[in-house]
Amino acid sequence: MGYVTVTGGKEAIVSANRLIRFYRLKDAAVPLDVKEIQSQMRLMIDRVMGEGGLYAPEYAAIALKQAEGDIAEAAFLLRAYRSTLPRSHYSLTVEPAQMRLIRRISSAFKDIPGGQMLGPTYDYTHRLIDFALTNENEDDIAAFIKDFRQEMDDAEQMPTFSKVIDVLRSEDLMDGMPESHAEATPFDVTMESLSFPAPRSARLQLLARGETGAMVALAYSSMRGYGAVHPTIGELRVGFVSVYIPYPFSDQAEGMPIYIGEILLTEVEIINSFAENKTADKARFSMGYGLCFGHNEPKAIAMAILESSLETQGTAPVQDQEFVLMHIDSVEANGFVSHLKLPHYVTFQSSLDRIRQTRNQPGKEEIDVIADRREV
Amino acid sequence: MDYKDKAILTRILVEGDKSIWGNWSEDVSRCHEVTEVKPASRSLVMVKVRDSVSQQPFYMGEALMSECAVKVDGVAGFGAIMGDCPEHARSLAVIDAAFNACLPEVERWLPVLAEQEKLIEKRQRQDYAAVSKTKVDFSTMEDYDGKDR
Repeated sequence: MGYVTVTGGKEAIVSANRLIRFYRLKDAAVPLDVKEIQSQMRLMIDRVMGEGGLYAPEYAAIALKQAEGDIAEAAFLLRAYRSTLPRSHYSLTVEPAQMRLIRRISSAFKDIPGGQMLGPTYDYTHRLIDFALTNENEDDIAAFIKDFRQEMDDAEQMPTFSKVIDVLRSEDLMDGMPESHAEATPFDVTMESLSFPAPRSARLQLLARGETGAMVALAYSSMRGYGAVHPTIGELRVGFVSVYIPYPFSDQAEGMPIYIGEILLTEVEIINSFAENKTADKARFSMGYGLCFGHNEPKAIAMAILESSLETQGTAPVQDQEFVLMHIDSVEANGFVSHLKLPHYVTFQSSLDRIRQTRNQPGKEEIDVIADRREV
Repeated sequence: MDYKDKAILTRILVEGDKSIWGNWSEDVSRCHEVTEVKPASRSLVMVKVRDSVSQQPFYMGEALMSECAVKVDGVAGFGAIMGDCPEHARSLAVIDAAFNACLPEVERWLPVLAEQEKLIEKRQRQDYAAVSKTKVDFSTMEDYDGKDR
């Protein structure tokens, strides 16, 4: 199918752009402070960064302000901005196992080495609207923060936490570590053209920047019966990891790592039913892995389910790489759906011509309708 | 602490009090020749992470960063930090070059770096202490492993 360019509408488009700004601001008492969006809408910021594929909290906040809170639009803005910058560095391999934790839970074991920490979670809150927030003021905030900080102790040291999965691995109940630890260069979906079957690193990259809602829906379908994976969460972690890049100067410690900051990640390791691993010599659980930018637990869990599902054979939609990976990208899916709003006058005129022709040829309707569907 | 170890030095410079590093950078610029090799600018770093199933890395996405390269009295220095803060990256590059050139100012800086390092560690310990208050001990209401059946 070809495309036919339309022209005109310049003044209307300019006016529409002014109108959308008017609608954003017409009832505004004060402009939204970008720093406040960043600090008080942290979960929305994290979604935008994860789906835009760019960790930049301050820019995600600007994008959300510009998009009037539309997460898909904000992710698109972030993805577009990303394409204007050079990629100067690749980080050293980040080890989520060394995360500085703010939350850690397991649904598989109640007692895990180091203990479970609920951290900042809505899991155990009543879903009742807190109407007191309507009148929350600066004094309330200052008083709460002051009280909270006064209660903050100073821990003796920062512990590190071994992985729950490693307990099962040590008992040979889990698929073990791969023998080779030599690092392979990952596939990069932003630089190389993807074909199927895609390598594991490409699948994980696409899932890591997938759209939360789409991924949760597909993972839910697997658990409802349209798939083979209904897991237990071995461990869910939220926390900060350090990012290092190699020092660039050859005459001064070339290759020595330098620290450039921390990023917040959500990591999930799921335990799948051992019945799924039919080829193993002994019955062992298999594992699924989810990791995404920011604090986004539904997405990380869904990622682990989907990546596990893509490792299994079957006819369910979530066992089809192309079906899953090509439909979870926020920018691509929203872009394609949104393109339907743009002028399709010539293509629709063609459909009109054909339906009229069909009506003028009695007995041909059914055949033409089938042909029309195939074209779609 | 060995501040010649760039991983240690840069962690303090990135997480520490930015106003101090700005002042140090200005001090160096007043007393030494500072030339820009690569002007302070924004760029991207691709974050590579370990997949705990395959133990192989994958690219999870990019992060915004700022970077700068300078020479101080002919000795190169590099500064990089995540986020949109090119001026801070420039300060880090000047300080890095000062360390590489073993400028006399560096000796004066060491106690401040040590103090900043302690403050960073204290802040992170306090963060952890607040999180550890949410440590939970779930109990089951009855045998959950099927032994009572």
